[in-house]
Amino acid sequence: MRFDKFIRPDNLQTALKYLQKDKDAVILGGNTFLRLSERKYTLGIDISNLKLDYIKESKEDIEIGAFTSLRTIETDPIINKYFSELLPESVKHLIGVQFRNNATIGGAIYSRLGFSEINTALLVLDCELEFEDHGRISFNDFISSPKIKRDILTKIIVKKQKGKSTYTMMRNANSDFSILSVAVSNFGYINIAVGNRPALAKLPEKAMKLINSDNSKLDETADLVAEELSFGDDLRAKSSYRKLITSVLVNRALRKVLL
Amino acid sequence: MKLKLSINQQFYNTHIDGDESLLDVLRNLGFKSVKKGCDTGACGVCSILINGEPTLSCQFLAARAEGKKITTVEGLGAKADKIVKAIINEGADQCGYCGPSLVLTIYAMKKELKDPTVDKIKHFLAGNLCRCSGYEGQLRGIKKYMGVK
Amino acid sequence: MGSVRKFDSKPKINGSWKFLDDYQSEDMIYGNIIYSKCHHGIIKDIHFPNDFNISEFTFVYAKDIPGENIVPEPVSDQLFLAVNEVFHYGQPIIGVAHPNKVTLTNFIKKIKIDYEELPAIIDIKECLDNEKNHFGREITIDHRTRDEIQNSWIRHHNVYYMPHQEQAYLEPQGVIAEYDKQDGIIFVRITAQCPYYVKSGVESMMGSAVNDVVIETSEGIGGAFGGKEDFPSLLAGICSLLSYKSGKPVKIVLDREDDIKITTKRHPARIEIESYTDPATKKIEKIDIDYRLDAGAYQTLSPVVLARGVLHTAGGYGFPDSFIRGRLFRSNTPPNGAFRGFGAPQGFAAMEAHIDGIAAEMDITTIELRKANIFNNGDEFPTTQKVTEENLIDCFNKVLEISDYQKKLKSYAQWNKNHKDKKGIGVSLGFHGGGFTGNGEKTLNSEIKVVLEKNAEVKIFVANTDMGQGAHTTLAQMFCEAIDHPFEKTKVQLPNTSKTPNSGPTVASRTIYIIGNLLKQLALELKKKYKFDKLESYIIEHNSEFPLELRKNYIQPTSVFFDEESYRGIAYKDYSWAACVNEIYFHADTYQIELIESWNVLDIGRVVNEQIALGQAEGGILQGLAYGLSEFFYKPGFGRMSGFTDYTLPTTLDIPKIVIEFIHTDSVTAKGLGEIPMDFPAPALRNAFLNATGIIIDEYPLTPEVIYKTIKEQK
Repeated sequence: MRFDKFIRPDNLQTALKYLQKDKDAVILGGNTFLRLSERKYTLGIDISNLKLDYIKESKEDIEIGAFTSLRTIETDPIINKYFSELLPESVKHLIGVQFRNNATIGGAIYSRLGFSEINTALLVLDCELEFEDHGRISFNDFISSPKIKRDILTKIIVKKQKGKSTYTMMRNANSDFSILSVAVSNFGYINIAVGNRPALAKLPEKAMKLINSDNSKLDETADLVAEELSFGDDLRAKSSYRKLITSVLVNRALRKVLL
Repeated sequence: MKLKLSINQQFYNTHIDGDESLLDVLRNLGFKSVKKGCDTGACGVCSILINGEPTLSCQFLAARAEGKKITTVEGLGAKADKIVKAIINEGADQCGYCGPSLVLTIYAMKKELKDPTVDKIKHFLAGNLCRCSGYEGQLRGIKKYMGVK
Repeated sequence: MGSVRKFDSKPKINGSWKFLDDYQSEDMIYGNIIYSKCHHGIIKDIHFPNDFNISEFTFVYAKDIPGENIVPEPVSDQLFLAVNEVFHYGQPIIGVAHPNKVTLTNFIKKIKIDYEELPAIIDIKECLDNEKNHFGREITIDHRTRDEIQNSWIRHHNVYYMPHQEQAYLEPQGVIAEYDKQDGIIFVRITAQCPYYVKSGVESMMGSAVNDVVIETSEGIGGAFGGKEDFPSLLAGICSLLSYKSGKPVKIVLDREDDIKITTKRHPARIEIESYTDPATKKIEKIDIDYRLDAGAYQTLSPVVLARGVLHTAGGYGFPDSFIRGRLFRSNTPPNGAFRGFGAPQGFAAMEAHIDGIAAEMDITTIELRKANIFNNGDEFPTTQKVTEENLIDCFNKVLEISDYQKKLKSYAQWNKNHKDKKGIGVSLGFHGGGFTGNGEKTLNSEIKVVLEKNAEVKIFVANTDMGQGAHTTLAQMFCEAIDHPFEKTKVQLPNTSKTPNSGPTVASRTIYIIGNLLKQLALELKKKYKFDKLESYIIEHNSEFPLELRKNYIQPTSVFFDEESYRGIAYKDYSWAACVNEIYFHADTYQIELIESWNVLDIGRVVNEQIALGQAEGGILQGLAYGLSEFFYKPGFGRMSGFTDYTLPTTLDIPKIVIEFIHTDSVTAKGLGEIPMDFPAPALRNAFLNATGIIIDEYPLTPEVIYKTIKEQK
């Protein structure tokens, strides 16, 4: 990725104005995967001065600034207090500490990257996104339809819920992206998300219905997830293998939150 | 664009392109300990410390580095002595290309890991690739340095 | 002295050691290669982008080459720059240079080349399964002693496939060429293993246009593993021509993506083995091996890799009747080349798997079978070379002992009965010949030079490079130890073809074994001649006789003779021996193999520097384990990898416990070490999987997907 001009606004309004004025402007978050693209932009808008790097706890929610690094998600005490098995687990295997200090949660979400494991984890939470222009939207809606464009993600709002949540994945080598990721939560209602298919993470609706109607149907649910979702081939794994792993990982995850 | 960088507690004024990586800028300024291995964020040999945190300089925009404290191995000086000793006492350095970035990461790890274990150490260093050593010698030295059996 | 500390340790770690890209000069410009993105085709048209000032660039085409458009060593068939037709992806077409690196990169990205596409072979199996693709060298080792096959003998027949492997040195390929117009000299600084190969490469390129060519390596060579053996000659040739044409120093440093896409890899191999075993004696009476390598589009190094491959592939067993046929196969991929082991890892990966296959088929233990066939004193290699020691048996027994093999074998068999997941333990063994194959060392006639200074400093001049393996430290140590000279008063000259004589390439586990032992001999001769107790005191007492320059050539003993025609005789004067046991845990639900521990017993003769030797062994073993478990470069339907995000290397989290023991270290000779650790971890891993599951997989690496596919097909 290249751009001609660099600006670092100190407020969101200015940043948004620049972004919407120029269709070849780009928001610079962690700049990790964006940098690998071949695209050329006219303007790079740095959001590092917008004070979007924070994790705050309120009575109901946890608010995560969009510029918060994945390394912070991994180590932050608040996140670890509520979702230690889920959110930190979903980021801690990504390359190395040095990489995760750069990569941001906002970048992972906004780029809607299939290999971005934190998206799998966020899908099983009651989670909303706040955009500077568009306002609030549920994470699920954002992930499933790309209607928000030329906007700035400012924060991620995660509802504090009582119950268990867990994340598991499979990768060929520790430095590699994962072949498949699975997140499951049980806050009264059981949510299942499968990512790295290699397409973007998704909730298997039928399977979720089944397990919520009868908590004992673990094996059937795990198999149904594999049947319900579609899987693709890439150099890391073929769809047939992904499908097989899906039921194994979903089964494991369900056991963790149910038993 | 003009840029003023704080590197190893000294200020440097330089001209850069807005989209230049901190890796390229540091190397142009003569900090050759910062190596380029892949330029895609995968190998770790360009690691530096930004405000004390290990960071890949190939992915960090130089323009964004203004106002931050950048540390390369040249700037650790005597503070790196024990780490360097720990590694060379085991004869763990081979080609040396990953050496400076490893020292910086260990330096940051020592500060961050309050109760280090072998697993925590391995996890912290997973982003520092080495093709020569099989990590064994490095880990022998690092475990001693971190006081872990 | 045991473990003298490496003299370059500290500067490497504190960042002051200079690697290729750390060299900079005022008027230096940047070069690169424009290479083919087509696997096979005729170049129709080249479109340069029109938003650049073309006059700022320097271009070199095949037609600009003043000398010969052929990379001369080791086999001269590869072009520096393509002429009309391209034969593989990554084939250089144009050299280009510009003062600004960013401008150059952007310019190259926008160049479009039109091709008339021709049929191409890029798939490994498509290349190796079809006999029509054979080209270039063929080697036969015919040690057939009988025609009859007895009815009671058990036939075992299988085909094994081994993948590419990327060297993945962390410092990419790079070179700086500087043409001095006044004297007509080209000076090349390069990160490379073999300065004299580079020299003949540049000389071929430049022909009579220059008076002299001088090659010097960079201070640091950031890993090589064989990957910087022959490719640097090609790169240096093109860079030199760019400097010659532009009149400026030119630096080329490959991007990682280009480096992975266009440089050499370990050869993919297809090895077919047919064996006959006598069930009464468990002796393998007859073996027939068809050894094939995918050479890529040109032969380059492949004939030499093939030679080593066929000489190792029969393994460490005394077969009374053997027939080995080795051939090169052509594909439209970049030429494959050297990588630690040089054809031997492929050979052992197949043979050691085959041994376990026979045992499984006969329902006997792999240990019984190996014991019945392992090299005994007096046995013969297929070349008829006599085995004169039983050190391989010692390695084998030792590794079984330290791994507690027999006990684990039994207890895991028991454990496996009651568990879906499986535990397994596997073994492999063999040898690695030190130095060049056959008469190679005789032809090389390596020369070393030592200068004894007035202040009693010893300066060592050899062309062998230190690419991280600690060669320069160990070489100095060998000279010093022989005559008890202080290590601190020794220096090793950076390899430079105008200063260091041609002591041969830094390959084939030969640097310590050939050059180190030569230095030791020189030191001992010196002591004998001048009859000193301490060299230092002698130099002080006879100061007017110094500085003194000494030279010595390697003379191959006359007893070492190899017939290149019949492939009979002494292929290697000395062999290193090794045996490996690997333990794994198989996760049945995800088809993942988890490495638990790897035990390796090596006989490399005298260990000169324990720490360096241990580091070499550990590094080689991890590369070997990854060869068997996770690293692959090509996948049907997805093509070749393009960077470290695709081609994943083991990290600190991927390593098992590694145990290493050197035996027979009281031997006089320091034998080859560099390659042998690489040879055995992969088959031991595969055999451990077989032991755990009873499932035979004859294809490496054993990724979860390959295991899944195999199990599914067997069902």
